[in-house]
Amino acid sequence: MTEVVAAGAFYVFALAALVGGLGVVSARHVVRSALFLMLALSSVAAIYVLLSADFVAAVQILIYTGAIMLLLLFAIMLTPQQVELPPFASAGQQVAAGVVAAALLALLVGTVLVTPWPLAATPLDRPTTEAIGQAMLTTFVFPFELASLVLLVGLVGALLLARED
Amino acid sequence: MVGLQHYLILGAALFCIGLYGALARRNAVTVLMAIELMLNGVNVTFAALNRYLPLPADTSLFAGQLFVLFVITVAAAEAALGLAIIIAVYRLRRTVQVDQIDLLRG
Amino acid sequence: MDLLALALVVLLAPFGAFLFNAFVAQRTWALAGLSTILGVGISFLASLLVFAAVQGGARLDVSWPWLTIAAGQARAVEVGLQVDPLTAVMLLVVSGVSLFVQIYSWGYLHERTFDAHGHPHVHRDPGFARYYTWMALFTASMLGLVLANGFLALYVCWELVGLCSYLLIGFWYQKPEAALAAKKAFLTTRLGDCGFLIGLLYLWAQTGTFTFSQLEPRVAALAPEAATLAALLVFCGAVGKSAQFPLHVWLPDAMEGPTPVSALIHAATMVAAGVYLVARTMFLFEHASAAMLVVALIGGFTAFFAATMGLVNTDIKRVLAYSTISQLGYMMLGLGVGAVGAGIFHLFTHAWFKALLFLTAGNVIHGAGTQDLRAMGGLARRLPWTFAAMLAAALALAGLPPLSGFWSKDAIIAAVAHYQPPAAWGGLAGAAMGLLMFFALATVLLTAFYITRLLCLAFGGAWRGVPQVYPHVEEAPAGMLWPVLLLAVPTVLAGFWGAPFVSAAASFATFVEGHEVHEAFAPGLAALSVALALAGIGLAWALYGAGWLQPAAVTRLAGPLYRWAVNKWGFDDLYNALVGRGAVGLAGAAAWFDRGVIDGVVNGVAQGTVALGRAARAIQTGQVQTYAWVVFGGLVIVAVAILLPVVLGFRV
Repeated sequence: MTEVVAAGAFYVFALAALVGGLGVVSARHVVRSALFLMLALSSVAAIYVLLSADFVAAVQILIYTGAIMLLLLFAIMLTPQQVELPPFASAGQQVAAGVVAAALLALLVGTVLVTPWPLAATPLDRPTTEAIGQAMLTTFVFPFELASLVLLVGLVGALLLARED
Repeated sequence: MVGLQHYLILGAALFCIGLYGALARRNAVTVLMAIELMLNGVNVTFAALNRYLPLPADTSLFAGQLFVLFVITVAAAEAALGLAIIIAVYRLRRTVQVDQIDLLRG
Repeated sequence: MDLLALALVVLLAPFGAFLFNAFVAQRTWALAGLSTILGVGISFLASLLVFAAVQGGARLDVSWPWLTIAAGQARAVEVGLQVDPLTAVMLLVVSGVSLFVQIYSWGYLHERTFDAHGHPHVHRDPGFARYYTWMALFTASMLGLVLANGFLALYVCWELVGLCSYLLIGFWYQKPEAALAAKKAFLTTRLGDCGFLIGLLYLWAQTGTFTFSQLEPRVAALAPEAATLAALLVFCGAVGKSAQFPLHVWLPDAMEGPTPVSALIHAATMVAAGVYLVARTMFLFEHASAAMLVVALIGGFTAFFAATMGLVNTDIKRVLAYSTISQLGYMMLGLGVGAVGAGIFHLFTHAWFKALLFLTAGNVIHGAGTQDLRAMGGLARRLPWTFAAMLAAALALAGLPPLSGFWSKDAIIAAVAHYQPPAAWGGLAGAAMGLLMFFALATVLLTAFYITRLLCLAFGGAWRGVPQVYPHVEEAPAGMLWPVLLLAVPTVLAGFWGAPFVSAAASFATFVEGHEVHEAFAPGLAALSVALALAGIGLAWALYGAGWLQPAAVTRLAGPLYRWAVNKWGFDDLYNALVGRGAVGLAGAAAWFDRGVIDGVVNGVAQGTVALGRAARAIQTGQVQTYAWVVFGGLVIVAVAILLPVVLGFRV
């Protein structure tokens, strides 16, 4: 029973994510692209839940759909464009991009389907928050600190780049 | 019923849609959005693999998810910087169309 | 006196004059002129002494080694001098005519022009010193040519006279026709000289020596084919220098030079060098009967066809030029039938009367101010002495007894008639002999005709030029008149040396050939040739003198023949097309190759590089998306390249 529900939930949220993604790349107006992106990101958070990554799902919603989307919306606000400008690149470029994307998709899907994945006996379904916290401060303390340094640098850099002078 | 492969295919699809958007859209902000989409696709892949594949004993059991966290962190920093650049360019050129920013054109 | 010393004086006196003129006397014109006249005068006196010595039996043949090819080997290249009867005669001719011409030139280079009222003005040519410098060099070179005892020295002098000819034809180099004529002369004779040089080298390869006296026995040992080849190659040089068919085209144009130059170089001496060469190398030709036939045929044909062109020309000097070509043909004809004595005898007499003809023509030109026969007439009254001298020379050329030309021309005709063709000529013998006889006799008629025509047009009738000029036409000054009158003496008398009533032992032919030559005099033939000459004279008189026939009517009757003769039998056009346009065409092809292929390759490389660069630039759009696309596209391609075999492997 739970399996059916899980499968159904997966398909629903996967579809939502894909719709959101397609919307991002095909919407004419930037703001509409941004809203579709919010849909996609939220759906991905739900997918994380389905994958028992609870902490990650929370972080996704907080950071991605919260902060990063806000950032994008502010940027859209600060860069008003003339509406007549074409949103898409030239037809040739579209086709070329489509070809590359399709080829890559085929490649990846093919690889996924063909590979004999050494699956675990049972999938990993445990609460993660505590374990992640512990790992962050022991095994992964170095990347943790580096990540904070990256954020600092990003902060300073963004300030520097974006100030009026 | 829904196994590893479904999630992996979802991740690949998100990635490739994002790729198409990054290559075929004119507005720089939209391109950034597409890039975020690509990163999300990668994250889904990491999370799925974390769940379904057995992990080595000496690292954490949730190394995949930790990876996702780091990716999100860096994505945030990158989005901030990218948008700062876009705003700076906008101030200079009054445009964010990527095909109009071609000073390196040979 | 020692023959060697005399020979050296003969050679070095004019050469010394040349050096003096070239390095010292360029500014002072009188000094240059005097030095040449003095040098040639000394040479002439020495030549007389040489002649006397040779008459008394003296001979000379000395060689000095010049280049030793391999030490210890006998093959050394030598140069040297030789004096024998042939040389002695040639020395007299060259130095004698040259002396007369040098004296004459002094007056000639003071040019007379007529102003609007017909008053004459005298003006000295600015190249006076240059003229005498080249004349001295020429005389020295020609004497060297005749004194050379081997092919090497002869060839060097051969080229030197060719050079002097070029310099003197183009003496008035500012005139484009003169410059072109000089170039034409040089190139045409050069063509002959190429063959000559190949022949020289071939003989050297076959026999190992250049010296004539050493060649004589060795040539006898050669195979007939080798001898024939060598003889024909050597004859090439003679054809060029003596303006025989087909290399005759330069001589009429060479009349662009001053008249004394024409008299000396292109009548008496340089053009005779070819005849001298054949005579000197007769030991080679004797062993090559095919070559002898060629010499005779070319000589005979040239005599005939040059005379046809002289019939219709309107320039007094060019008529004489064609006459020279024709008479040289006679000499070659004589040599071709083995009558060396007769051929050289004609060379001897021809030198005197042809030089006289040219110098008197010079007087006419000097007096009347024009060279065009159509603008002359009635000059007999104004230039009586010139007329008398020219008449004597003309009759000598026509071949009327007792003048010199009659005896020499007749000697050749008799030689042709009595010639027994060698068995090697085969079936052609009869036809060839007939043809040669025809050429010889027909030319007599034509010669008489054209020279009488010239006299009538220039001296007879009424003045056809600018009317105001006629009262001012006067006889040449003394400096130009005395050489003319003095030349009339040998013109009349020189023939007696070879006349048949002189004993065989003392005749010219015996003297030259070194052995007793019995000239079988054929009275029938002699009478025939005189009759033909008189017929020619009479015909010309009828047309141009008395006016019984209209020349215009005859021209219309002859129609195409006339035009053909006026157009010089089409040779100039032929050579222009062949050589001129051929060379231009070749140059055009080479230029096309250079521009198209070579420059094309070089430019093509450059343009290819540019195009490559332009193509490479297309990738640099400056747009981030392009670069991103390239990155992912490359990724896809690499992945496919790696995975494809694996995938296929799985399926299989």
